[in-house]
Amino acid sequence: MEVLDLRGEKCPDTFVYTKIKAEEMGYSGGGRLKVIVDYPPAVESIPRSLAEEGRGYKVLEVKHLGGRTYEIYIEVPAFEE
Amino acid sequence: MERIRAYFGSRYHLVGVKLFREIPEGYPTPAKPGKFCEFVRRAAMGEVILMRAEDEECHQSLIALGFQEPRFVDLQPRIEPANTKAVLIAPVEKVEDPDVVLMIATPRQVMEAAAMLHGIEAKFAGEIAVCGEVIAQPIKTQKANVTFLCGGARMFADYKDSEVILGAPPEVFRELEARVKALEKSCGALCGCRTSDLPQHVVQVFSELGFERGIDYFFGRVDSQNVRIYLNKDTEGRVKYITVHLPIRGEVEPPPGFEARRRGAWTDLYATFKDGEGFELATGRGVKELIQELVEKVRGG
Repeated sequence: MEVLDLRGEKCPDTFVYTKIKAEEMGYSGGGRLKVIVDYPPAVESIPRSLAEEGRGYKVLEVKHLGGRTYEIYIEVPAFEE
Repeated sequence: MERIRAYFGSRYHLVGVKLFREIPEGYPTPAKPGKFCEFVRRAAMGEVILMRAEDEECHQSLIALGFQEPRFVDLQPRIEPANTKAVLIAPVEKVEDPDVVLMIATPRQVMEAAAMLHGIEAKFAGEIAVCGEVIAQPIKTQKANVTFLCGGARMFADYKDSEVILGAPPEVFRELEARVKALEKSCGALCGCRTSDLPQHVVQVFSELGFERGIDYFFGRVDSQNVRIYLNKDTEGRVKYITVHLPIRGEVEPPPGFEARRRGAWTDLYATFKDGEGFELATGRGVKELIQELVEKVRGG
């Protein structure tokens, strides 16, 4: 599983970095991505923005680690060239 | 509420925001999707916008404004339950019965508004800002709030670094308007323009009379009497009035033409005069005589 630690980042950067990472993974055969954030609004906006991308991303789970920290687990499909 | 805009010298309209549970007819919708905070700024420049869910690009705003429920985090502040179908954003005079009124302002303008409202208790976190901190929050608490915006608003909506937003239920702005009117009535007595903002030739007038410069007034002594001079703007923002303030120890009745305020062991006597009516601020003609006459009047001379 790939891990993207975005603690300290805020919107809209949280989604931008997630999108770049997910696309890298998609073009490299796909896989699972764990995104760590400590900006609660991003926990709502990252899954919704990924869905809008139309790439087939699937949010598997959102875990609250306490305080403002969350983990978002995403299934990234392999992109067809 | 145009009076408020004029008093604060704001370049922006006050913005009225109204939430609808059904999509109303007859209002223009945006040509392309954008962000609520961006629509607020456009409304402050005069535009009327009816924003529906499909017009909003920001997911956090959809939650804060009550278009959608959150799925993973109880984001606050937000409109609960989520039954909003449209939001009207327009210059306040074009919104009937708004839920919230917004004023895009500089910190100094917010400071002045807060002083006139006898304080604002602000709560902000730099996230879900325009949509949450100055829309959902004032609707829920029925109190004013101030937001310093969020990263998205600063990045996409073209707010200046020097701009913040004061948001409050319309009643608060009506109160502010009443205070502005009261100030106009007394021409802002005992609350003057910052002397650093005054034209140099006006400052020179009082300097030549031997007055020192305070932050928002000039002070000096005339015939052993302490005198303070406040200069006040009209609703167009022009320096148009002079308020002469004479603090007198003890309780005294105001002479004709003066008003009085008690302050501890002192009575503040003050009177306000309009530029051009017996004196000229631009040249200083008649100013010395006016002050002299008032001092003599207070002393019963």
